Formats: sequence, structure tokens, C-alpha cells
Amino acid sequence: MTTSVPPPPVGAPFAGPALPAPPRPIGRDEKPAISGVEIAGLLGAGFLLNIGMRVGLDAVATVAAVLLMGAVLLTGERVTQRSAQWLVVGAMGLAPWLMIRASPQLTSITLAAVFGLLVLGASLSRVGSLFDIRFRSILDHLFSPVYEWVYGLDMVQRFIRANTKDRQGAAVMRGLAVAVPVLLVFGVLLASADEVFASFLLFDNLPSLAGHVLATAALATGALGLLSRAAHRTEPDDIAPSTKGMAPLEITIILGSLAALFAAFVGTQIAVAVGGVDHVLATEGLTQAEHAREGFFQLLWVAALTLGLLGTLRAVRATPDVDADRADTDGSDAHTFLGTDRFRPLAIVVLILTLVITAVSMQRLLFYVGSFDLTPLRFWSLAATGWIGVTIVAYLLSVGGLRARASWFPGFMVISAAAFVFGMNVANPDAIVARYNLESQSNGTVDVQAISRLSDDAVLASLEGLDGLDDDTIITFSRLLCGREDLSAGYGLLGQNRAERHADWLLDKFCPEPRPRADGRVSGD
Amino acid sequence: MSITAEPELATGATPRPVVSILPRLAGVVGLTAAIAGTLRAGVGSAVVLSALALGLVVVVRGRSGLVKLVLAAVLLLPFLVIRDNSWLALCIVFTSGLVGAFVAVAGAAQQRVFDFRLGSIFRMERPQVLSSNELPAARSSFPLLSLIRGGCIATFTLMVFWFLLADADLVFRSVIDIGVIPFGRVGFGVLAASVFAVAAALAALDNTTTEAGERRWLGMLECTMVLGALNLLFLAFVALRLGNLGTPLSEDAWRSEVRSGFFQLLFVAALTIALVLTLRRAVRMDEPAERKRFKLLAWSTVVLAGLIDIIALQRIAEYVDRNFMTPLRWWSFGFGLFLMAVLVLVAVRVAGWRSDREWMSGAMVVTWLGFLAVMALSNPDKRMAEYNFDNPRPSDGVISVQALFWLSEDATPVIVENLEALRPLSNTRYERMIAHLCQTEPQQSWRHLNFARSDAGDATQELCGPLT
Repeated sequence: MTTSVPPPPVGAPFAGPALPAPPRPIGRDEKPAISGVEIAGLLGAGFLLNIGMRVGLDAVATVAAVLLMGAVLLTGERVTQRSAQWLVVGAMGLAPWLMIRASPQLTSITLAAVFGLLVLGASLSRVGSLFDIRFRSILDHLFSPVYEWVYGLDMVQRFIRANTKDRQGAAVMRGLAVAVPVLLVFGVLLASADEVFASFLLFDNLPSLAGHVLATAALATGALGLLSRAAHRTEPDDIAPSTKGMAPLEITIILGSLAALFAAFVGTQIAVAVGGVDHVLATEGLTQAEHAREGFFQLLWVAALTLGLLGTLRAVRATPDVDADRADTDGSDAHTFLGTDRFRPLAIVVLILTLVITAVSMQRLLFYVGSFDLTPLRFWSLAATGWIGVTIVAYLLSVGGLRARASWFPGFMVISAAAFVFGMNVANPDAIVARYNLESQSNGTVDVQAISRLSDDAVLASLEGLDGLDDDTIITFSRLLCGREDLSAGYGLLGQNRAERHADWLLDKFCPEPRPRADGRVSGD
Repeated sequence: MSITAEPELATGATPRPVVSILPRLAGVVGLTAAIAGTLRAGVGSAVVLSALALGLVVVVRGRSGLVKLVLAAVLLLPFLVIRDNSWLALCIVFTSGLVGAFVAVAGAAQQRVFDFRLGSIFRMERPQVLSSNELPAARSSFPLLSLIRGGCIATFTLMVFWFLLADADLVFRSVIDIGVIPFGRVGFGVLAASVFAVAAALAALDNTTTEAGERRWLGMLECTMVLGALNLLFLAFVALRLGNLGTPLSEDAWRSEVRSGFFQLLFVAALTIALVLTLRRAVRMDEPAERKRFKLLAWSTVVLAGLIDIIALQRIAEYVDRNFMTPLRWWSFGFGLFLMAVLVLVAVRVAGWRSDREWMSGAMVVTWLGFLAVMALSNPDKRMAEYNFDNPRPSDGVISVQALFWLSEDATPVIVENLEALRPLSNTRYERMIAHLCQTEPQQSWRHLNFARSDAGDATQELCGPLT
């Protein structure tokens, strides 16, 4: 049944037509219950994550937890949409890299990507599509784990009610699920504040049974949020309709002035390139090379902010269909209000200029790397610049009208980001950094201290690069490499990481003396 | 276009208003940033802040009890001219900014100080002045509005991008020199004016808060488990602490525990406040016996959290006794006392006093304003300097010059007065202190006029000669 909605109370200075009726959140009327198999799966994932957190998250345990979580989502027939299934499968495909690489940066970004893919996969389980989604929806979905576990507790409660006659049992389970995370937060805070209390709680002795039980329960409760997300229909777009109130004149002023600023910047870069501003450089005592090495990060920020600005303006600008609807409703003249919509041409100009700025930014960093060494930060920055360049081109196509009926660009960003993380895992950044620095030897020297601080991913490349060094450097580098700790973390197979294991094996063969271990013993004990 | 409603709306059920937090958050952040941007801790900033606050009061005049909060915050502004304490200035600026922004952005113009809930900010009607359906109609008959709005947004956008590009490229900075100061001032002016215009427009609305039906999602048994377990945890902590009172710790263990543990304990007290207030809203208490049980459990939690707060305060006091007083320790101690006051309020709230009114949020804001007023009146930096001179470190009798360096010019007269106390300890310390005191900068203009800095200049004139 559909009914016209009376206008809401108006107290604004300008009288106007009614706001659309606020729709209710969709899907919470459904009362899904969790199954016994799913509970077992979540507890298993929680336990494995608990082990993963103890051994550094770049181990078999974390991968197993992600695979188990993915299996729970896929086999329980909660995730029915094809694109959502691919997202979950993508997370499961990306996860094994956690136990293959050891770089902390890579581990962090891979974990974030896996988590994002799982959340999006669960959120789009029954409605919505990755290929027609708005950024705001993606943000809503990614934010959902903060509260979704509460709905998950409802699912557990329904399961207990359905399977037991004891009404108190459900409440006890629910109480436990709420109490455990609360206790964990307060317990960790109090234990870190007081050594006596820490030893009382055995939090400084993590393999204790209490620690395992508490951490498993807390992590399983968190994972419950994913399952709940998949079990409910979630359509955040309908919950909060977007505002479409930015007039063409405003868009023209904003984008026109921005295009002028960017054009001025690009103009100065051209002037520098052809030597037209030598007097400025001479005044500041800079060479062209020195000038070309500054300001990389600011330019990267400019590119990223421009994408955000254009996306926002595109979302809030008044479009002809919206205006025509309004004209139908209130009898106003749509054409008078709209004027000439110059968003598309101006956005294209701004995007092309931003692409040039991104290229300038990348060229500056390449100059910098050419003059100095490559570091993980510089490598990641270069790769991120490339990815931003690709997204700018994609946005250019989107603004240009490619598949204009669907909002495909946010989904493209998700997929390209996942592909970026996958590519970085395949590329092995730390090994590239070590290999580049050992081979290039910029300034005729090698900073072996910096190379020795790279993760275990770089050990093989480091050992392979020894041949190109002089004898003194080889001795210093060997001493540094052999001083690295053996990172064997315990928990048997669950604590294994391929890169660490391989590096330990290589160094055990390479080093004449047993190496120190993280637990204070020496390698080989 | 036909506007349709969900089925239950047609049956007469009250619709839940659109939840729109972003404009409000943007307003809070924008107004606070605008106000914080004026921070010079002198007459200039006090004038700008007062104008903003009084402007809001004028806009919502006669409408709101909450305007009193703005006025109370305005009363703190003169301390920006009287004191030179940057901690105090920051607290005052952000408090007045946030209170002003809350009154404006929350559309709380119709509410009373001691009868509103902070949570209501998330449950209000979308302000119609900003809605898509209102502005276009006005713009079609008055296109200048579009020009102004576009100009404001473009100014802000250009400022951000221009600063980034100028910072990235020296040539661009030199060639495209559009004058940082005039551009910055114009840009800031446009920004502050637009933020204030939006805030004032919001404050002038008659958007009453719609109370959504409360969802009490937690049963009494669950609540008993949560608070019961928490009480046991707190009890164990307090018992262990009290039991180990006489046990001597090694210097290192004591130092690390006191330094790192203090903030965790304060955090525990703050989290407890949030937890108890949340549970009070979330737990179903249909029977009188259930209400009594909740009251008992919540009281126990609050009392134990209070004891933990006392332990935290005792630790910091002991640490100060063994070392020196610094601004961080002073303000941390003060914040601990503020938390204690809030815990008392929570206990009273749980007890059910004036349960017909939502007085908790207003009481917390008023307590914070009172705390700031006490801090401002007590002149913290002067007290800290006096304390450090009167209480040299017990272990070696040293007065820390470094701790005195951290103090603002509020403390300069006291330091000059007690300067000779440093000479017997070390001539180097004495000379370093004099060099530090003589760095006092003269007042640049009327905008920077500050009484504490004037007094500091007078106090050091004999020591350093006239300021240049």
C-alpha cells in the first residue's frame, strides 16, 4: 500500500515542498537465528584469531580463521548474491598471503583488505551490488561491525530459545557475550596499570586458559557481527537519502576556480621544465634536480583530495531529473534554477590537471629515489601513486559518461584496491627494496643497516646481493644479518609464517654461529 | 513524483526522523576550528570569540535555557586576556566553541539546561534550511544566494589546495604569490562567516527533538552478569592495591607503574561512567525489585570506580611529591577530580533523584564549566611555580629548571621573585633561567594584549632591561 505523506512541520525561513518520508531501516524485522554449525565455526574462527594475535597475525592461524569465517558465510546460504560471494572468495584468496609474507606494512594492509572484503561481502549478501553502489553505502557497510554484533547476539538468543526450554539459558549466553568484551577491555586496562594486578590476572602470561577463553569469546562475538550482517537485509542508501542541493552556479564557481589554480601549478611546472624560472631557483639556491625532489606527499594529497571533492560535488549537485521532479511538485521553473550544468566539462578539466599533478608527483619521487635509496615508504608511495593514477583515469571515464546508469566507480575502487594489495603481495616490496639498493648502490655506498632492518621477506634478496659488495661491507652486513632474531613463535603449525621460516632456514645455513631467539634461547636449542 | 511512505507510516505510527549526523558534526568541527583558528590568547581572540558567542545568543534570544550555557562559557573568555596559560586557553576555546556549536547545531534552542539529553542530537529533524527542497526554491528567486554559497565553498577549497601546492613547490609559491596573509585573512573571514551563518540558521529553527522509542535491549540477568563481573574485577583490583600498600616497589617498577598506570586508571573511571549510563538506558527494569537490583549493582560499580579514581589521584600525587609539578601532572590531577565529581553525579542519577528530568547532561556540562572556572581562577602556572620552589626534589634537593621552563608567563613574577633560590644549586641553572626569562616578547599590537604577559614584562624589566 502506498500513501501520500503530509509535509513535515516547517519552521524554516523558506517554505517548500515536503521532504521524502523517512523510510524505516530495512531487514531488521526479519528474525534470523544462528545455527549450531555456525556457532561452532565462529568459535573456531575466534580461537584461531586468538592464536593469530599471539603470534603476530602473519601466521597460519590467522589465515585459517579467515578461511573458516569465509566458509561459514558461504556454506550457510546467507550470501546469495554473486558479487557478494566473489567478495568473500576474494578475501579468502587474499588471506593466504598473510602467512607467505612477513613485512609488517604488507601484513597490515592485507589484513585491512581482507576485513573490508569480508564486511562488504556480508553486507551485500542479499541486496545491492558492488557494481552499482555509492561510497556512502560502502562507508556505512564498513562501519557496521561496530554495532552489528548486537544483532548477532539476537540471533544467538533465538537459537537458544528454539533449542532449549530454559528461557534463562538464552539470557545467560547473551549476558556472557556482553560481559566478556567489557571485562576484557577493563581487565587489560587495569592490568596494564598495575603489575601486581597483571600477575594476579595472568594477563602477562597469555597462554593461560583464562586468556584463551576470554579472547576467543571476544573475537567470536566480533565475528558474529559479520554473520549477522550477512543474515539481514541491509540497504543503507534507503535509510539516509542524499541531499541534491548544489546549484550549477555553485559548482561552476568551485570547479572553475580549482581548475584555474591547478592550471597555474601545471604552468609553473612547464616553466621550470623549459628553464623559464631559473632566476627563482637561483634566488633560492636550488638546482632543478633539488626542486624536483620536494613536495611529493603534498601533491599526492592534492590528488586524493580532488577525487574526494569531485565525488562529493557529484553526489550533492542538483541534476535535471531532480529539478524536473521539483518543478512538477511546486510549479517552479526548473530551467531558471538549474542554469547551465557545467559539472562534466569542468570535472574533466580538473581530473586531467590532477592526472598531470599525479605524474609530477611520481616523477619527483623517482628523482628522489634515483638520488638516494629506495625505502619501504618510498616504494609504497610510488605504488600508491600508480593506483591513484589508475583511479583518476577510471573516474574520468565515469564522469565522461561510461555506463552512466550505474554507480560503478566505488565498486571499481574496491576491486582495484584489492588487486593492488594482491599485486603488492606478489611483488614482495621488501625484497624489491633490498634488491634495488644492493644493485644500484646510489652514491657508491650501500646502507646495509637499513637493509638489515627490512623484514624476513628481504633475507633471500639480501643474501643474493652480497656478491656485489666489497669485503668490509660483506662482513658488516653478514654480522647484521646473523644478529637478527629467530622469530619462531610457538603454537606449532598455527604459528608458522613461510617467509620467517625460510629466512631462518637460510640464515641458519649462512651464519657460522647459532642466532639468538625471541624467547631468549639461541637458534638450534 | 509521488512520495510514498512505508506501510506502518500510513497507519498513523510516528515516523522516526531521518538521522543526519554529518551536517551537525561538520558544524561542530567547523565552528570549533573557526574559533580555535583565532587563538592568540589575547584581546583579539577574546573579542572574536565573544562576538561569535554573543551572536548566537542574539539569534536564539528568549528561546532557550541552553543559552545560559553559552553565557557561562562567555564568562570564561576574559581569562584569555588575563592568563597566558595555553592549556587553559585551549580548554576555554574548545569548551566555548563546543557549547556554542552544540546550542546552534543541535537545534537545542527550545530545551532547558537541566532537561535535555546529549543523545537527542542524533534524533532530530533534518534542518530544513539546508535541505534540498528548500534552498533551490529560494535560489531561483534570489540567485545571489548561490553566488555567495559557491564563493564560500570555493574559498575554503582553494585555501586547502593552495596551501598544499604552495608547500609542495617553491617555484609555485614564489611565482603565484597571492599574498598569504591577506588571502589567509580573507579566507578565514569567509570561512568563519559561513560557519557562523549556518550555525545561526540552525539555531533559529523550530526543530523540536523527536524522542524515538527507547529500545531496552538488555535483560536484567544480562545486566547483572555484566555489572557483577565488573564489580568482582574492580573489587579484586582495589583489594590488591590496598593489600600491597605497604609493599615497597623497586624505583624502576614504581616509576613505570605510576607513569603509565595513571592514565589507564582515569580511562577506567571514564569508561565506567559511560557504561553505567548506557546500561541505565538499555536494561529492561519492569519490576521494582529489578530496579532495586540495578541500583545496588550500579552503585557498587560507581563506588569502586571512584576508589580506582582515588588510587589514580594518589599515584600522581605521590609522583609529584617525589619529583616536580608539571602542567601535565596538574591538569591530569584536575581531570581526575572532575571525573570524581561526575561519578558522584552518576551515583545520584542512578539513585533516581529528579528522575522526571534529563538533568545529567546539563549537570556534566555545568560541572565542566565550573572546573574550568576554578582552574582559571587558581592561576595554575603560578601555583606550580610556587610549589616547585617550596618543594625541591627530596632525593637531591634540586629545583628543576626544566619544569619551570614549561610554565607560561603567568609564572614569571613568581620565578623572578624566587630566582635567588636557584643560585646556590648551580650557577648554570641560574643563568639559563635568566636567559629564558629575558626571552619575553613585547606586546605586538592591541590584539595580542594580555595582562599576564604585561606583568611578566614588568617583572623582568629590571632583570633584562627594556624589551625591544
